Parts: sequence; C-alpha cells; structure tokens
Amino acid sequence: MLGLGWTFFVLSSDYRKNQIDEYYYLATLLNVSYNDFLNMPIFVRKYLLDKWVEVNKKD
Amino acid sequence: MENKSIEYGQMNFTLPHDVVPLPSGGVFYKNKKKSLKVGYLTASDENILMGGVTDLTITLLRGKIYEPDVRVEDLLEGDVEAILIFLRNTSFGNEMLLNLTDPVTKKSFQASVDLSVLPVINGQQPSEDGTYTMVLPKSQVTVKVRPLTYGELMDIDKQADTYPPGRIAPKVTWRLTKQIVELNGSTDKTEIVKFIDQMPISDSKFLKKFMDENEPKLDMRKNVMTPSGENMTVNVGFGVDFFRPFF
Repeated sequence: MLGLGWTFFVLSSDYRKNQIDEYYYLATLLNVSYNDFLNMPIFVRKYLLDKWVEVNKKD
Repeated sequence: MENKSIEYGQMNFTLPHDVVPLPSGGVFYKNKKKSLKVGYLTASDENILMGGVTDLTITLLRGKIYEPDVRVEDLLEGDVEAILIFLRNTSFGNEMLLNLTDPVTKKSFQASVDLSVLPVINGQQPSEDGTYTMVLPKSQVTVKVRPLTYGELMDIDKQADTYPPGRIAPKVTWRLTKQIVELNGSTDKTEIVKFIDQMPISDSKFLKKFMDENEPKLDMRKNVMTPSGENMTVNVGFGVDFFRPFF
C-alpha cells in the first residue's frame, strides 16, 4: 500500500515563499497574471525563469 | 463522486497534458485503456501539496487525470504510482536524492537516482476478465483472484483505523475476501469467506507472493554505490521527499 497520506507530501513553508517569489519575478519581468501563473505547468515556469536569467546574464 | 470525476475530466480536457502509459496495460479495467491523459502539475497543485487535504493522492490525481470515465479509486496501485512518478518527473526533474546509510560504516550518505527509466514488473498475463487462476499448494483449492484497486486498499486501511483499540484488525482476511472472486468454480461469497477463515497460512502466503510478483507495477528498485564501495539495492519509496525535491 502506498500510504500516501498528506504528511508525506506536504511542501514546506520555504517552498511556499519560493513559489510566491517566482510569481513575483514572472509578473514583474514577463507580465504573467496570477491566474496564468496558477495554471502554468511547473516545468514551463522553471524554464521561463531560467531562460530569463540566461538571456539577461551579464558576461 | 462519479459525476465529479466526469466534470473534472471534461473541464480540463484542453489544458496542457501528456499521455501516461499504464503498467497494467489497462487489462484489468472495463474500458481497457492502456494509457491516460494526465495534466502537468501547476502552482495550483503545489498549493494542494502544501497541505490542507486529508487524502492528498486522491485529491491531486482527481484533478490531474483528464479522462471522464476514469476514477482514481478504480486504478491499480501500480498505475497510481506510475502517474505520480510522471507528475514528479515533469515538474521537478528525473533526479531524486535519497538519504541512505552505508551498511559497512553505518554513516549516512546521499545518493542520486534517476527516475526516468523504471522497468515494468509484469509477470503472468491475467485472463480476459483481469483475473488469475491458480491451485493453492496446501489446500489444493482452485481460486480465481484479482488485484485490488487503490480505492479498495484505502478502504481496508480506513476500516482498520476504526477498529477497536487494542485489537488487531484482520487486514489480511479483508484483503483476501476482496481478492478471491471464485473458489473451485463457485462465486458464492459466503463460501469464499468461510474458506478464507480456515485457509492455511502457507496458502495465504503463496497468494500474497504470487500477487507481489505478478501484479503489474513499476520496478522501483535502484542500484547505488555506497561511499565504502559496496553495491546496494534500494527501493525508492513514496516517502517524505517524493514531492519535496528542493526544500
């Protein structure tokens, strides 16, 4: 039996802070709405942030 | 519940998704679906993962399986696991860090395993109706058995939780009662229950071993090298770190 109770899966409060930070960056840098942020696949979100950093990285 | 599932399935049909092949190949289901459309995890789902619901797996998967005619509770445990791994891999990457103890030095260490390649354990093929027929070695009785669904396994656990304190819940008996669907050609439930009550332990163990070896699921065993140079096989579980890859 998996026994996948909520105690095994909860993400930490640190994670919540990071999630909100990511929304802040997407909203201010790429004009992403909160609704779009909520429905955006996580891998797309990570890709957009990584891409922005890559493009704007100063050599 | 069923209407809710249909509603979710249709509502999310146009959202980004992928097709996840099921380890069972759908042979145990009425609709015989070999794969399911599953949506990617989003920030909304992360909010679910951050707590607040009593049954996380059901809540999460109910919103992520975009198939109107599929209920999470009706899926086999191995198929549920495959969907959870898909969700994790597509959101947080294939790599999973495990905290392990070196069997030689007894010191803890971290090892990384790749969850992108997990072979399917698929033993004996079931019959058309999704059952296996076998002769039990001790009692020489012919039984027809079927694997339990995720919902049935959850029901057994819930039933055990309500059992009077101090008494051991007969979970094996409950499991066998659901698993055995036919006994020497008879489907009479009273007869089956009576047989299970008197079933030799060796037959019960045989049945458990058979299901463990033949029920389709992903092989979650991974080989890691310990700091002392030993080769160690670990079973990647759905524990505390499964959906907590970074923090």
